[in-house]
Amino acid sequence: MTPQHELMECYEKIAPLTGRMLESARAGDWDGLVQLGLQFRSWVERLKGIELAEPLEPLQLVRKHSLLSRILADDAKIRDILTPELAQLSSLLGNMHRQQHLNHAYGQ
Amino acid sequence: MTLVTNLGAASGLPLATLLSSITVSENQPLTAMSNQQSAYNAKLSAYGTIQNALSTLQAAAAQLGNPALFQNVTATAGTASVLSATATTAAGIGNYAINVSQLAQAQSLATAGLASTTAAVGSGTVTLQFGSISGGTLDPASGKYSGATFTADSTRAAASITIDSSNNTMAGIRDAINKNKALGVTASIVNDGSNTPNRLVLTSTQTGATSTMKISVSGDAALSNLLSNDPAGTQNLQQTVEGKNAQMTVNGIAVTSASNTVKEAVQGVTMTLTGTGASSLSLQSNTATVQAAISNFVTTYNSLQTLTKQYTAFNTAAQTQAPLTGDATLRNIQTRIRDTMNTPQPASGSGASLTMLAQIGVTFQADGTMAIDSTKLTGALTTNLSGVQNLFSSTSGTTGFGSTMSTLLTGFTASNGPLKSATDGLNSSLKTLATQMTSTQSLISTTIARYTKQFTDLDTLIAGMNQTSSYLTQQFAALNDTSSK
Repeated sequence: MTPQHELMECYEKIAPLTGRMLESARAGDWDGLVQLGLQFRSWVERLKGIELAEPLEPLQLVRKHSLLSRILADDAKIRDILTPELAQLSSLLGNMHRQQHLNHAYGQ
Repeated sequence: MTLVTNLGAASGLPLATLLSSITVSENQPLTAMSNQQSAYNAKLSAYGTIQNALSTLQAAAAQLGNPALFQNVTATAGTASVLSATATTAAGIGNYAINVSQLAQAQSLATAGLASTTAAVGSGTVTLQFGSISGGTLDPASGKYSGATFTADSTRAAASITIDSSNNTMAGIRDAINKNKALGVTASIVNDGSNTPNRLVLTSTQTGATSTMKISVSGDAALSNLLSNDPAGTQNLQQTVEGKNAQMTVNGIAVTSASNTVKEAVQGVTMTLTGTGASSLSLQSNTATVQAAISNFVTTYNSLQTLTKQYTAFNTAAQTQAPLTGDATLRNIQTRIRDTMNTPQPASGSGASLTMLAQIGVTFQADGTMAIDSTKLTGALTTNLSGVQNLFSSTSGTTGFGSTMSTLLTGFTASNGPLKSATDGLNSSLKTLATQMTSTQSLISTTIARYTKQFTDLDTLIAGMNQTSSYLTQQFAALNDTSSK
């Protein structure tokens, strides 16, 4: 397999991964999202390691553009869901800790 | 763990709702349990205070339930120079005419004079026997008897001292006598100013006619000549004070006493004679102690009322309860105390019968406290003490407000009483509550741990995505540059 093929293979794998990540995020399946996120990272690491001897074919370039557009769009949407969720989680955890401290102090 | 707190706020998300419901459903019961715990502890403390107040009231009631309280008698002598007197509860009420014709006195004997108190006299054994002298005559000048008979007091054994080289002087004999308490005499040396001035004076430690000394000496003639003294025979000592009994009459009846402390000549009374002459002796009921006991009971009862009111109050303005508001145990105790106090006591005795506290001026006020009409109480104590005694006490201990209240209150504070079972119940509830709180607490801890892990995982995911995203964005930008060229 040529580096060009390998590169395109990576993008072909990554695009559906980010799509599934978005589905998991929308469904609130956080454990699934975290697992998919690990696969996503390892594919991108692999992508970074590929050296191209020859440039991509024009058709490949068009396909790459299309795949990258989908990937980046999904990435942004996942982020849009995760960021406020994390903020909520953080604030509620903080509340629970405070409440627990109060109960420790006054309850028992 | 570091929590990210600057990510901005959003709401209405599923995770937020989930966590919210956890906070509400799990922390609220914990807060409620904690409040319940505080309420139980406040109740326990209130029961403890009530228990103390009931014990104090029980002691006050028990005092009133003791018939002896009403038999306290005060003895008063009309002439203080003749006698003083004290009475026990055994004393009856009454007035007595006392006439003291003679005070009891202790016999005193003096030896002939010696020139020196430190020169040796002689050795031997000196034996002393107490007894009484009868018949014969006493020459007041020489202080000696003639033709008299000495009868030893069989209840008092003779006692001896040994005089030898260690103590054979007048001073030595004096010290030997004083050292031996069993002899029953004290010795001193009196200087009469003559050529042979030193005279040893022996005085009986007890007064009375039967405490007359007979002194026998076996040993040197010099010692015998100094000390031997037989009222029925040779008397070497001079009697300076005759042993006498006290002579008196009580309501005309002759009374003789070896001592000036005359016990039971009047039942329950001890008279101390201090001079001759006539005096009255008045024995009156000590109503002051009864009045003080009643007053103490009322004060203690009112303290309990104040406490009860404080512990059962409901603040309508603040809508707050006191620890024992609506408490059935305390209400039941209060009701039974009140019922007991309002139950008439059986009438008895010859005087006007007293069956209710109001008849002696002790009444319940509108606010639940008790008050004393002291004029009415004093009147009842003065004119009908036996009636008041019957109202509070009985020899059987089953009737009288003091006795019945004491029994009732003892039951309340007993180890199987209502307060004990109420506090046992509370302690058991507190134990259960503590167990529940511990398990709820651990449930919350588990939940927090679970969501903390989730947060950390998502946080790590975001950090990773930041890296991948920046790389992919570069690739995308490069692609656009290429295609635009």
